[in-house]
Amino acid sequence: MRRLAALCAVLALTLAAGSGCGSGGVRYSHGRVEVRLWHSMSGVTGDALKKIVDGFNASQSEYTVVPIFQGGYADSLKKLVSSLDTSSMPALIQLDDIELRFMVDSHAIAPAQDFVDADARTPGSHPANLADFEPRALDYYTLNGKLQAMPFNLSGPVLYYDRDVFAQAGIDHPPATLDEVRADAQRLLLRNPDGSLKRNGIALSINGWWLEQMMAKQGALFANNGNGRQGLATKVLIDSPAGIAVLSWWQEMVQSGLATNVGTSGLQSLLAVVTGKSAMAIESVSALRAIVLALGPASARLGVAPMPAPPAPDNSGGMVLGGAAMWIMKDRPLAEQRGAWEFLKYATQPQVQAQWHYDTGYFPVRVSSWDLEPAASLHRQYPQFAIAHDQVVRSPRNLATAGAVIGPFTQVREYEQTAFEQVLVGGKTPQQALATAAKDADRAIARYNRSVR
Amino acid sequence: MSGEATVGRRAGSRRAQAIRQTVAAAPFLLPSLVLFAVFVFYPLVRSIWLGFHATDPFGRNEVWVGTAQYHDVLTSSDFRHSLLVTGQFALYTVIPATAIGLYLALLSHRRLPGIVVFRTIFSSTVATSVAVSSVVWLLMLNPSVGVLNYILGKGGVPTESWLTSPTWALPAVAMTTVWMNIGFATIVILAGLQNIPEELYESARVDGAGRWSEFLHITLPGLSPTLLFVSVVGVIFAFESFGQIQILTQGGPLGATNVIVYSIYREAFLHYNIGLASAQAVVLFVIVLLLTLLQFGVARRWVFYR
Repeated sequence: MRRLAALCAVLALTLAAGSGCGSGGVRYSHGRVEVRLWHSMSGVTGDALKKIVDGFNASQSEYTVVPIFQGGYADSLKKLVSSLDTSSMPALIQLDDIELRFMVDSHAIAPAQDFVDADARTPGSHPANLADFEPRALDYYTLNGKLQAMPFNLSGPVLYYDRDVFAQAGIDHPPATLDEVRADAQRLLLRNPDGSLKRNGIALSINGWWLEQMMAKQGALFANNGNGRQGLATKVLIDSPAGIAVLSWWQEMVQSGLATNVGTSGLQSLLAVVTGKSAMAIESVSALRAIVLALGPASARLGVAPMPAPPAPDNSGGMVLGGAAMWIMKDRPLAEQRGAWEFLKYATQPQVQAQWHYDTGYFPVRVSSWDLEPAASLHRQYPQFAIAHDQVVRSPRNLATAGAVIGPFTQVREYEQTAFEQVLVGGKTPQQALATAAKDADRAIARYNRSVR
Repeated sequence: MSGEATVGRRAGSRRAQAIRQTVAAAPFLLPSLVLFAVFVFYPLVRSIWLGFHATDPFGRNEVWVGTAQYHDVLTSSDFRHSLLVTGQFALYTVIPATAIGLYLALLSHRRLPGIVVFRTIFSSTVATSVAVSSVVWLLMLNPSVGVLNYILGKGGVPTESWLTSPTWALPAVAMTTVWMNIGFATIVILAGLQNIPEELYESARVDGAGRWSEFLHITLPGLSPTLLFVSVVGVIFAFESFGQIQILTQGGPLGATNVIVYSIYREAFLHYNIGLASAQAVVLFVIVLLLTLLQFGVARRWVFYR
């Protein structure tokens, strides 16, 4: 008899281990609707997000937002995909820009536009004032005529440079085009007495994003069908003159020793500038806040300028406003979705965004945040932020600068990266490398498009 | 019940007892069987199943595609390249790790005061996680601020961008893996050395054998089961390596470190081609199975078991 009881206990334990799943009803926490937020903000940015969440939770008594760090965007997306159609899905998830098409195709999201429209129909609601949102961010996340996700943290690439070194070389302004980068790099090279290089012109990391941005700066489309915004993209256009111009410059710079290739880690290129090994680097503006925090007043030496690129005909080119956005998941109960939307409206208030910008260096999503404290004092102390932002507001709004929309964008980026590696260390010409990358990318896009139809 | 009494019984009753024993053992085996079923057998069967189906990126809309995905995998030049890289990686890691482990084990096998300190140091890498040691090596291999290039530079040796060079990336990752595996190899070989009876050495010495001759004719044959075990496990480690690749190179540059497991990971969790990734996983499973059988086949012929 006792043995039977032991057997039952063992069985019960084993089965319990396998059955952690429950139903998908509304989650409550202390009588409030619980809204789970999966995010990828850690360190300084994680603390800043926590501040926003705490502020929202204290501002009302209906919802509790619970932020859950899920690793990088790719890790978070991976977990989301495995949680689809289960009760462990969050109500809200932060994902990077390039997942736009993928998320829309998942049919698992509720477009932000639906909540904007619902607010407009509901008397007494406090609708989001989209007129005050950075229009380029809305452009990016608008697909099929609808705002799909709420832009949250905005960033873009910039040129970082060592102002002291520029001054010593007698260069009074940072380079704006790739030709100017080459000319400046020649003057900035520094050799040791034995002839070896002590400092090179620019540290370049390998990242498909640079190619995408430099094509947009030339006013060129990255993918067909209006960058995938007028119809489903079926081809990438990287083997065009605009793409070849970028990779040819890259190859020439690295092979002549004017630039150093630091591989795929962006951190390495910034490290090269900070340690004096390179005079310039191209990196995301989102690194700026961390650098300023680490270096303090010494960071005055670090200059920031718009990312250089081949000039665009008749000012048709500009930066693609990248970063990440918040997505509301439609399979969570409506109460949680409403809570998620209320949180997003709170998180994008001008005052909240001014603080977010101050804490993290991400561009605020609200136009009016720019002149509010503490953002304004940050710009007085570190004019680099204002310079980086200029690049955003000067960008024309068109299909090229709205950015490409492609389903398997992560895979396409890998092929772009391979093209960079092929020209830098694989002995291929830019034309060959980009043609191969385009062919591989087109095949991945075709496979993807077929599988979601 | 004594042994002789059992032997005297009829076969039928012995079978009955065996059944009783199995029934009694079942509840105790059940938890581990259930865990195995959930975490090993079910995923295995599911992978084989998914290898025959195409899905959308979200794992929905399964469509039977027969062996098309297996065909894609086996004819893909990328997969063959991954296979080659994995083989090289196994070669670069197993031989040095076993050799260095053997050397360190021999060094620390002597009875000397304080030898425990050295044994601990030599085997310490077994207690270091792959993630931690990879991050440490990432810093040491850094071309601009890493200590490795600093030392090479001081010694007048040309420095290298270890992890971004298609030539050096795989050896560099292999080197970090060798470092990680040395601890395990040392511990296991040390245990093997302690199993070789001291009398063998004594009688060899009486017969006038030298140190080299002792090593060749007593130590090596006595260690052969251990060395086989270390190399089998090393090959399996090599085929399963993921953490160091993910942290150090992400499979690059130009696929130079894109071992099979990493390629499966990329296909499944970055490209969301779940069917294709499953087909790759099944192929990898078959390869590892064959390798293991082969190694044990070799063992039966060559290894000296006491």
